[in-house]
Parts: sequence; structure tokens; C-alpha cells
Amino acid sequence: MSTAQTAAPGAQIGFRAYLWQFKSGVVAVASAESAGHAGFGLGDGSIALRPFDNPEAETTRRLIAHPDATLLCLAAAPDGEGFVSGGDDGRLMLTTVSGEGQELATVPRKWIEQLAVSEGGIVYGAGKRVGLLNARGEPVATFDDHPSTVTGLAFNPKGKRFAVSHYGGVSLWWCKAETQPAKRLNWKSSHLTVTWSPDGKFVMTATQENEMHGWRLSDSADMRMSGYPNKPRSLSWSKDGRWLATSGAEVVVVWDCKGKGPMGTAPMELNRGAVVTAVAFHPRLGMVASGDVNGLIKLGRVNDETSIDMEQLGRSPVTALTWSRDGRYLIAGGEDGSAGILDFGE
Amino acid sequence: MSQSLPSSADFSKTPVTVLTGYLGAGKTTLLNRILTENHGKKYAVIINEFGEIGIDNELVVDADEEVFEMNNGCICCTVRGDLIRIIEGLFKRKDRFDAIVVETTGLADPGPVAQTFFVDDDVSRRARLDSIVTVVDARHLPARLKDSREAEEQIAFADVIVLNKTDLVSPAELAEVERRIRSVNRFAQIHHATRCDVALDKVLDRGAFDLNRILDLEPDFLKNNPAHGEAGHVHDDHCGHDHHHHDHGHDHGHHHNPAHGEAGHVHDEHCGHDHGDSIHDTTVKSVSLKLDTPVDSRKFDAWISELLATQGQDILRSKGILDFKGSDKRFVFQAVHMIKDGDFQRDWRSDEDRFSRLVFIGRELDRDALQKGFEGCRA
Repeated sequence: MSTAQTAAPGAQIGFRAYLWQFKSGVVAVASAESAGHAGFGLGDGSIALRPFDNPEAETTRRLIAHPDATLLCLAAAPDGEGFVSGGDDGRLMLTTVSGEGQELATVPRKWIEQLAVSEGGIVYGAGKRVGLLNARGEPVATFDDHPSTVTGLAFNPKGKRFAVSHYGGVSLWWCKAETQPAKRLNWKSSHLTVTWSPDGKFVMTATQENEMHGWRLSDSADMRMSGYPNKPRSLSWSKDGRWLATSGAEVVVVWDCKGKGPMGTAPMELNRGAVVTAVAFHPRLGMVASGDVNGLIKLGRVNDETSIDMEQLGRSPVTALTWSRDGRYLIAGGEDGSAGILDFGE
Repeated sequence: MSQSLPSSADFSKTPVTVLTGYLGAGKTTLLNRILTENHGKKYAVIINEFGEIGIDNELVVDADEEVFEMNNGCICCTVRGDLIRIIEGLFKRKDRFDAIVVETTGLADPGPVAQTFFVDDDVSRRARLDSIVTVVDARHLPARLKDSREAEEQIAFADVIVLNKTDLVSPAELAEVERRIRSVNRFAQIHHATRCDVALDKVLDRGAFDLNRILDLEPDFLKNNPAHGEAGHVHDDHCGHDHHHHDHGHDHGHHHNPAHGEAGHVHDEHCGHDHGDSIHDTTVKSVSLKLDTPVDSRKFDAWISELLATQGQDILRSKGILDFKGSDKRFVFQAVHMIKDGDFQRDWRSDEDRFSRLVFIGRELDRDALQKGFEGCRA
């Protein structure tokens, strides 16, 4: 446990850091805002809870979401009262912070590695199949027409469509339509994750070839953004959809997506240091948090392109990073089980 | 574009054994032994969902054999996307394992599996390819080699070959099968077995991709081919008569051989008829080259890089030991397609002959051109 006061160049950023260590690696983190808890999805199949109003709590409550299995993905439930998680036991679980567990789906002998949640629904990926559930977790439809295993899922801003990444591109589906062909965005590559811009204009993926690929939805124009030494797997948008922060380089590469898109423009570079493994844009302000391969958390600001070191989380790569929706707390986890909450105050 | 194999000496990485072989050859028997025998190690086993199931264990994972091309300019560069995902997922587990075994279907090309461990940084950070083990059925292999390109590739890529079901063939048939394996792959270790009863330590944790162990594992690699007619002789390009007919479809540009049927005709690989040797149906072969005088390291590097960049698609594997001028250490080299690795090993001993040897396993190998290129590397 440690606390810290750090001054940023040109502006004071005060925060308190609460750090601790789990025995299992942190796979994913999420904020169950309505229930007032941060959740840390762990390799032992559990979700560890920390209340935002008392992060120093001596004991960590554990929700055993995937007994004897590995948790592979985690998100806050649509109502913010708990968590949705997928595991290598082929189960999709809804677990409230009070500890009530409900199996939403089960896919024998498959891993549930992909998950996206909107206010109106949940999608999960298992092999080539995507399942859609409503906000209460009841099954709505399945979507099987994908050429390979599903590698990423993202809802559009209104939650009415979702994007599925796979080999060869992205498939876009409508949540409501009974029968429909997918709209395909094709690009010959292995696409590893997908994100949809908050203004709805762009769908972007990271690829096996250490590149970003994107499509402008108005005309399906391709955008290709290269130069990464590693896969840019962690992607995060600014609230207005102008900036896209990406991992995979020794800086946070931030693409300016105003107008026609970022292709051909030089990106902004923030938080220079070791290779960045996780990024999270602040939900309201022009700030990007990042975690690197050595466990260091940094914060960079878009308007003056300054960066500061925030906290040494652990000694291994930061695997998970997210802000609470109100932007007060930064939740972080590492491959070695290091974990923390940074409280930026009111 | 040729790439480098990552440093193979890092034994903190989890070893991965790739297990290949045709349906019915005995892979499942071997897998079951790996999972159940009391060897004190915990194995994660990645199997393909269409394979011979019948084994169950918490660390058995289904894979889909999703082969992806890499758009990185390397024309033969394909990886197994599912393997990348599964290996990353396995490392999220709380309970760790000591090693990984990847089983492939009989129809799978081992190339993408091997390349996955060199091309993907996230995988190579944690895991190292230990060896490629191919289980073959002594009785059915000749037929497989006739009708299946994959069966041939599985032998070509292998570091270890378990020649199984030897009790079902006669000693003469066994010798013939072994000779045919050798004609494709000169440097694999061959272990005879019935019901896959090979000692597991001959198969697992071999370090076959570790440059420091290549020569220890393959002492025969250093020896010359026994003379024609002697035991252990491999009918290769040196032995002065021709065993293969390869329809190369391209012209080598030397027309000194009188036409077939004319006086003085030499039955070579161009003449397009079967010389009665039963290995006519294999297209993969081994070419072994040797130089007795020192090699210039810069010339060699330039030549081998260009060779693998242009012909790496057909050269499945290559290995070598080199006597570089100006160095007292042996230089050891290996490659999978275009991905290569090389390093200085121990000193040459005063009591051993210094020489350079290269072995290529592949298709469309032009021995004369390779020999000429290698000789051009003389210091």
C-alpha cells in the first residue's frame, strides 16, 4: 500500500494510489459503477472486488465466477451492479457484487475470450460464434457467419449494431434484424481486436502484422496505420471520438481522427518510455493513462502533449487499465498480479 | 525478407513439442503416455478438434488449425492464429505447466506451426519450440509418401521420427522404410517403436532448435555418408547414380547429356523416367554439402540470406556447421524456411578435422547451384 502526491508540469494533478498484489495475474479490470466497486478479473477464475469508498480494505472479497478455470474476459454488467465474465470453461457468467452468480451462456469445449457490453445488451464470442443477449442477460440471437475465430467485439455508440473482428476483416451486424447478411469490411490480415469510434464514423482494428487498420463507414474507405514495433492491441477513444490512443510502441500513439481520418497524418506521441501495453483515455478530459511492459503507469495530456509518471504498479507488463465512468478512479492490473486504484479525488 | 530466429538458448521459456503424423500412426497413444506417465511434469496439450479424441485432461485444449498468412513481405510466412491465442490464454492460468505439446492433424503442414514460435513476439517471449516429432506407421508410410504431400513434409520438418508399428513389417521392409525416410530427411533422429513405446525422454525436451545442442543431438550430422553399399548409406546426390526423377519443369541449361536412348546417356534427374528406385514419388530430398577449406563469414551470410529470401519457400529446413576463417569456434546455423539463426559454438578441438557442412531439406533443390554457391563462400 502506498500513497503519492505528484505534480505535473504546468498543472497540479493530485491523486492517491492504493496498490496491492494478487496471487494470480490480472486478466482484465472493470468498474461496476452503480455498485461502487472495482473488479479485477484473475487467472484463477475469480473476480476480486475493491470498494471505491474504501480501497484500502484489508480483505478482498472474491466472487468465484469460473471455479477451477481461467477468466479470459471481464466487463461491467449493463446495469453497473456487477460483472459479466467469460472463461476457458466455456461459460459466460453474470456475477453481482453481492455474490449472486448466474450462468448466461455455456459453449462446451470452447473458450469465451471476447465480450462487449452496452447499456442495452451483451455480445460474447466463442470460436466462430457470437451470441447476443439483452441487458437482462437473456439470449436474443446468435451469429455464426464468420470465417474464423472471433477475435474482437465492439458495439456502436448507440448499441444498435456491433462489429466482429476475425481473419480477413470485420463483420458488422444489426442487433434487431431477424435475418440479415453481415456487412463485411475486408482487409487481408489477421485482425486481433476491434473498436468503434464514439461518433460512429470509424471502425478500427489492430493486426497481427503490428499495424492498425481502419474503415471510414461513410464510404468503407480503408485506412492503414503502420510503424508499430509490437501489436497495438489496446485501443481507447477520447470521449468526442477525435483521438484514438493505441499501445504497441514506446509511446502512446494517438491518432487524430477528425475529418476524413488519421491515415497519412503524423500521430501525437505521449507517455514516452518502455513499450506500452495498455491505454485508457479519460472518459471526460483530454488525458490518456497508459501502462508499460515494466509496470509503470503514466498519464499524458493531449492539449500540451505533456506526460508524467504516475505509479509503479508492479514489475511485469500492465495487462488491464480502465477508468471509472465518472473519471475519478483509474483501475490497473498486471501480469504478475500487481493491482491498484488511483483516486484523483472529486 | 528473411528474419532471425529468436535466441534459442533461453531455457526459462516453456518448451513446446510439436507432434505430427498421419491419422492412425499412433499419435494419440503417444499423447496418452505423455499425459499419464509418471514423469513428474505437467503438460498442456493442444489438440485439433477433428483429431483422434479420446483423451481428457483439464489441460487439453481444442484448436482449430487456423493458418493465417502474414502480410510482412515473407511469401512463405504463415502462422497458426489459433495457437497464438491459445498459448496466450494458457499463460493466464494460475496453475502453471511445465511444457506444451501441440498435436496437428495428419493433413497439417508443420511449417506454420514452427513459424508461429519465431514470428509472433508474444508467443516467443514465453515459449520456445523444442522439437518437431513425427510419428509414422512403418507399414503404411510408403503408401502415404506416394499420395500425400503432407506426409512427406511431416518427415522433412521432423527433428525426431518415431517409426511406429515396426512389428507389422519384415526387417527388409523396415530397412526400406528407413531408407526412404533418410532420403527425405538426413538429420532426424529415428526411433523404432511398437505401440509408440519409445522412451519419452527421447521425444520431449530435446532442445532440437537450440543451436548449442544441434550437433550433440545429431552426431551423424558431422560424419560423411557411408560408402554406397555399406550399412547406413543414404542414396543422395553424391553416390554417382541417380535415384530420382524430378520433373522440375525448368531448364538447368546444361545439355551435355546425350538424349535418352543414345549412347552415353546418363540416367539423371532430367530424363523423366523411372529407374526402378521406389523413392521416385518423393519430391522432398536432402542435399548435403561439404567444404574442407575455411569459409568467409561475410560471403556466407550474403549467400545464405539471398538463397533463403529467394528459395526459402521450397527449402523447408536447413542446418549447418561452419569453419569461418579467423575464428577458432564452430559456427552453427539453422533455418525454417526463410527464418534463420546462427551463432558461434564451442572451439574446434585440435584433434578434429575442421570443415564446413550444410544440409538442405526441400523441394526443387538444385544441387549444382547450391554447391557452386557454397564454394563461392570460400575464404
